Amino acid sequence: MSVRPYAPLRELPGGRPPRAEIVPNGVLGMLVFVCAEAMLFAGFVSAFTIMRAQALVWPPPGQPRLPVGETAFNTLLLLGSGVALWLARRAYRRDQRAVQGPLLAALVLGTAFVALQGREWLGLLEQGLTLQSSALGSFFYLIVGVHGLHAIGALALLFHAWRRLRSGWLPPGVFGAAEVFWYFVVGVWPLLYWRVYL
Amino acid sequence: MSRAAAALLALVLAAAPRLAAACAVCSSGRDDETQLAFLIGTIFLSLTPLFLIGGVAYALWRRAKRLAADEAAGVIRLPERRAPRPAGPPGEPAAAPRPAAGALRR
Repeated sequence: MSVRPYAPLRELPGGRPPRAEIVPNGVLGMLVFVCAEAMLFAGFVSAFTIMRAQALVWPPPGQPRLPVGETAFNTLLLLGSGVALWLARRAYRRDQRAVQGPLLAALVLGTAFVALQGREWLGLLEQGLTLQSSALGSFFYLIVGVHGLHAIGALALLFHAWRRLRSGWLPPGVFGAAEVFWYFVVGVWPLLYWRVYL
Repeated sequence: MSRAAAALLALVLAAAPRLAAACAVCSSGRDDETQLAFLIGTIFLSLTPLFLIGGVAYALWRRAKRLAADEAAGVIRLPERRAPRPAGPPGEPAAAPRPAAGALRR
């Protein structure tokens, strides 16, 4: 006989014996949210693809080229953050005390990604790429900006999970929801990089 | 409309796809690249929700199956551990924290 922690029991009505819940409510809610957000990004990418196909010259005349190399480095940081979170999940199954290191690494790498993307934006603004300057600017700031907002929201959730861990107990629902959100942010980025930057 | 008329209409539309694809807003027929972009966009937007919902449903189904198998095998599941209550006013002891969950695995 074995004992498995981290699988909360759900009380059932009618005096039936409690059963382990399939996924915590927080995780299920986050999955629904992420599905809706995935459709948002799918719409953005489709519209951008059609707009780009209709353009006679790309990038539009007078507009800077997007920094492919720097953003590739940022992409590696983000993917590294996803790997760190995966390591945190593995540690979570063994002992919560071992989660702190990888979770903090995921937080730091994710924050570095957002900070470097912000720096990249400043450079592009100085070169004349603005929301109004061209269709490229409009789509670029819309798509990458919405992704950045999601990244900031997911980082806030990761930070909340880290604080709960520091306070002594990280509930599976909180950690799972933060994981789902961050994996979405990490997973959707390579698609955006491929469609927008390359 | 009779079945024969419906079949005839379908045949005409199949033979003349440009009539069926005539869209006032999507500038189809402008050039091959634009048409391809519309085609890719349509396929992408059609399949994405199917994969998303299908993927989530499959993951939940697999997890439910695994939990049922665990239950049948007599695996004991511990209830969710709550954070220890902070110390109250003097004289009232704080709740003792439970041991680390990892220590309970056999």
